[in-house]
Amino acid sequence: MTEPLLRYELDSYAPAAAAGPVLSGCIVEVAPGTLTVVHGTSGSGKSLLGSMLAGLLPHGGDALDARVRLAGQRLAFHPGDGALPDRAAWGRHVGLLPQDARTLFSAARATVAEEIAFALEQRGMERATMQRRVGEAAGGLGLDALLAADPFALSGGQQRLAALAALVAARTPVLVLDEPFAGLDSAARRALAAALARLRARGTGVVLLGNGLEDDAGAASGADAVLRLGSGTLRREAATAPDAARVEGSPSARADARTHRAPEVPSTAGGADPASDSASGGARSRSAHSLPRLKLIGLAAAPDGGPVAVRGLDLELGPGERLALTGANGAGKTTVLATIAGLLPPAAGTVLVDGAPIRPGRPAETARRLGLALQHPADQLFERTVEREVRFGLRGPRAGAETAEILEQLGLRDDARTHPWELPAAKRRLAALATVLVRKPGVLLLDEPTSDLDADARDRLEDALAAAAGRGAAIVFTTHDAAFAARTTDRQEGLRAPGPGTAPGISGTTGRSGRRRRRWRPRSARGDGSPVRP
Amino acid sequence: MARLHPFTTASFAATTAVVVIASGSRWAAAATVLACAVAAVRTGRLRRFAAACAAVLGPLWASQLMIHALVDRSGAAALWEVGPLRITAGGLDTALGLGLRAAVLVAVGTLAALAVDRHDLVAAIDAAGVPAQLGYIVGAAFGLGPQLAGRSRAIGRAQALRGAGGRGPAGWLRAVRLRAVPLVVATVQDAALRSGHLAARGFPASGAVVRYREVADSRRQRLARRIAPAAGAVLAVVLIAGGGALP
Amino acid sequence: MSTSPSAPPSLLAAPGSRGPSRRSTILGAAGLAVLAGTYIVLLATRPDAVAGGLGEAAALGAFAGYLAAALLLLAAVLPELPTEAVVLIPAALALNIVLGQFVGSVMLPLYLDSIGTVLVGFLAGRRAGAATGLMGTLIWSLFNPTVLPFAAGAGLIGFLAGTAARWGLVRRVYLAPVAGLATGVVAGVVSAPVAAFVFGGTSGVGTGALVAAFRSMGDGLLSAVTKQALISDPGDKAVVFLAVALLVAALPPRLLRGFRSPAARRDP
Repeated sequence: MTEPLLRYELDSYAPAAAAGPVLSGCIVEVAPGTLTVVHGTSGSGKSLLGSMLAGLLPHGGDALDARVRLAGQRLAFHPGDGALPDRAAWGRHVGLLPQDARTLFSAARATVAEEIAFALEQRGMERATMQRRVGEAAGGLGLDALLAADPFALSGGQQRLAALAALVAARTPVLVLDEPFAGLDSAARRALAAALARLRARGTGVVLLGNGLEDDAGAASGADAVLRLGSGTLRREAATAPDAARVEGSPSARADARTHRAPEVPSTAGGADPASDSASGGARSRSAHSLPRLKLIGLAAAPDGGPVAVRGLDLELGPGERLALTGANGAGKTTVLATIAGLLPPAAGTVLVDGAPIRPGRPAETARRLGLALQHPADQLFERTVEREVRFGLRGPRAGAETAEILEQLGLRDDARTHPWELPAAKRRLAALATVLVRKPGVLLLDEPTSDLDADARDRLEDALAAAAGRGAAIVFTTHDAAFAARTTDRQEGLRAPGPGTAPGISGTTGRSGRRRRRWRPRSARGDGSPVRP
Repeated sequence: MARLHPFTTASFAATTAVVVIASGSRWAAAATVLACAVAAVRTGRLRRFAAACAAVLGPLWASQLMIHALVDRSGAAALWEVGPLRITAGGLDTALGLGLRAAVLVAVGTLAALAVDRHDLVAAIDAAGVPAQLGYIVGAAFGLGPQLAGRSRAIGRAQALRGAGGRGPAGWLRAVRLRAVPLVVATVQDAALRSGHLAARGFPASGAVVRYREVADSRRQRLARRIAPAAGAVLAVVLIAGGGALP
Repeated sequence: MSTSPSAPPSLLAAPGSRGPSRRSTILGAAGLAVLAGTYIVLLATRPDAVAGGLGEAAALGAFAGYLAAALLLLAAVLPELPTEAVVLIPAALALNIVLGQFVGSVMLPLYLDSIGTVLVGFLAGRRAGAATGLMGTLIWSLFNPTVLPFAAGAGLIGFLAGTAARWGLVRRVYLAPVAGLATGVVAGVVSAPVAAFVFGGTSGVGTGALVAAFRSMGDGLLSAVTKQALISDPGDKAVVFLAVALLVAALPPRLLRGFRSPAARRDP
């Protein structure tokens, strides 16, 4: 048995001003070349654990009781002894890839290459050596073409790979990766998996923090140890056999089981739905039965001042119909949603909601007919409590009751008085969703609603979508989660980006993929012959 | 213009401004401003140069004119006098002198700022042996500006659909709050996270930093940019002591 | 922990020293001394009262004195800032521009150029606040060289904002504008000689008209500019302090604790 690179025995950890310990009884041991997977739901404290392993915690005032073996040193932390990790010294041995890769970027470097070199620069490494290391790290992750790009101009997936390249170039013996696969398209996922395999072959010990959903189930299959973090403690799920097989009873298995719930989804396709009357109410909803809820005619979408990203979009969605937009990172999904919502002027074409056009630049008018939940929920949260956040802008005697109802539905009742920013990521996303759902829009647009979600939160989302469809809303959302899309929608449409993109079976894989222009390829996955192009 | 090291550019610009201002000569001042404009034309930056200068000098000149030329209380004969306004030749002359002095500073400074590549400047600061925090703050301020502007737009969009805006001061305040709070919270939160990663990546360095980016430099430049300010300072003192009040 | 020369660097942080080092204190005192000296010399000689008017010596001297003071103060505070504060500073400066554009595009004849400075002062303390004001002005001088001598004044605003937070004036939002008024008075008085002797004017038409009005009533240049500053600056700073106090109140408490913010301490 080789000496472990890192052994962290955590008895208990309580952040300053917390009522009690949030982590206790966690033992993590990382040997050279091994992969340790730590599963935990959102809010389970796995990001805290990751920060501990990387020496970014504790802060002064926190109470940590732990013993650590790292780089031949034995360290002990006891509450009140004031011992703090030296982040720079620790960082030479353990690197941490955070969930939001942008926070790893220094922000003071103009190009990806310089950003990758940042840690090497601080060591005073010779420029020639530095250039070689940067080239190797970038090449291994397929980033050669992006070395001169502005790191903040990259897509989310590319940013994560660039941040990983920075860690690889620094050659820390241990790497801790926090949900590295979340939100990546399949090409980026493959690049990441290959890079991890190479790192392990080189002797790097890798710790992967995951939410236990499909995203990292594949990575877990090659794990040397799978640990599960629940109620603040860590327990081992699988033996440490070098090539441990698939983990039985892992959260991913549970998620798979939910596939059978799909038939519960109410059937739709423009059928008369009594619930839709209560949704939009009044005379308009009666005429809505003959009209599609959402209709796109020859829509072309372009981001702010950019070239046209998607063109030739024709689409009809009836009340209660649900559509998933799939496509690789950077295929223009977010731009399409913003254009449908009238936040960006369309480069061409028209958007009709209940037969009436959406006029760009009239958000107040649009807001009554259509709701949009952003990719980054933080961008729309500004109140001091979840309850006030959701209730914002609601008027009338029912406002309180409607708010309570939606919080109950999304499992946020106990968090009503919490600051939205202090919720774990999954609940924060649900809170942002609640602010949109509570207005009961006829058309619901959701950008990546599944990211950050753990299994429980995803169940809640699924139920909320079914309820919204049940009252007659047409729903369009983007996602990388193929299984979720298959289970919750009537059809999926793939936005084709250059290169390998969407998962097979979801969208058409035919079609010329232009370098600049992406083509909208409608393809009904349901196969009931519903007209996609009017 | 050959690529000068950012510090060389800064050193020459400061020397020029100090000597010209110390000379007190309006001809020298006017000639310097003109020379800056010509240099801007030759490097293809006239539009940005003119816009930047006008944005600063416009209000400043207007202010100087009002303060010195419109309400001159000196006993000199008034050219024009109505109510509290009293315009004199002496007042106009003072305003002109002050205006030219400011113009020298703005023209030279703006030209230098346009000529320097920002990222080269940051790299030069990092390599200069000053506290590492200085270069980081300058570089990150440049880097985060566009990023925050983009985020601000995204937030504005989301909030528009939640009924931000409205008419009158109340609607305006609401719009500001809906835009500012998520932006500030996100910014502060990112800063808190980023600081941990930055420390783990070895910032601030305990020893000398070697920047990946190479900034062109030469011995002659290094020498010149040290001598120039010293010579300029001596010259300025001589000019001022010699009663440099040239017309 | 053994610390023999051959041992690798310890993974535990050296116990942090409380308070500024002696080097920092000396540099800071030197900076303040240069600032005060320049101010007193300018006040005593009143170059505008001298026949012939506004000398080049006064202009260059005031410029150099204020700039030197700013650089000394920067050298005092910068190297000892915790990384948390160092990272917050450029973010706050960028925020200032973005918010300034958004707010300024709508209305209000205020400068509001100190939102970021006051924010850092409230969150990360007075030394970080001072560094923000100084650095913000130095960076902004790349776009507008005339602001360079105002750096010391901006640093003072950040320092006073941090002091106000330390005294608990931010936790009660209604006290924030009072602290802002006081800060505006100090900042206005300190910066007035630069406007008067370096530029002989102000950066705006409205403020210029105000100075002209005082001049027409018989005031000297410095006293006219000072009076104008005492009218414009406190109002501006009161608005900024109030706005930033409201923003800080909206931040999640956990985040405030992360910065060891004086604004995070709760009233008993």
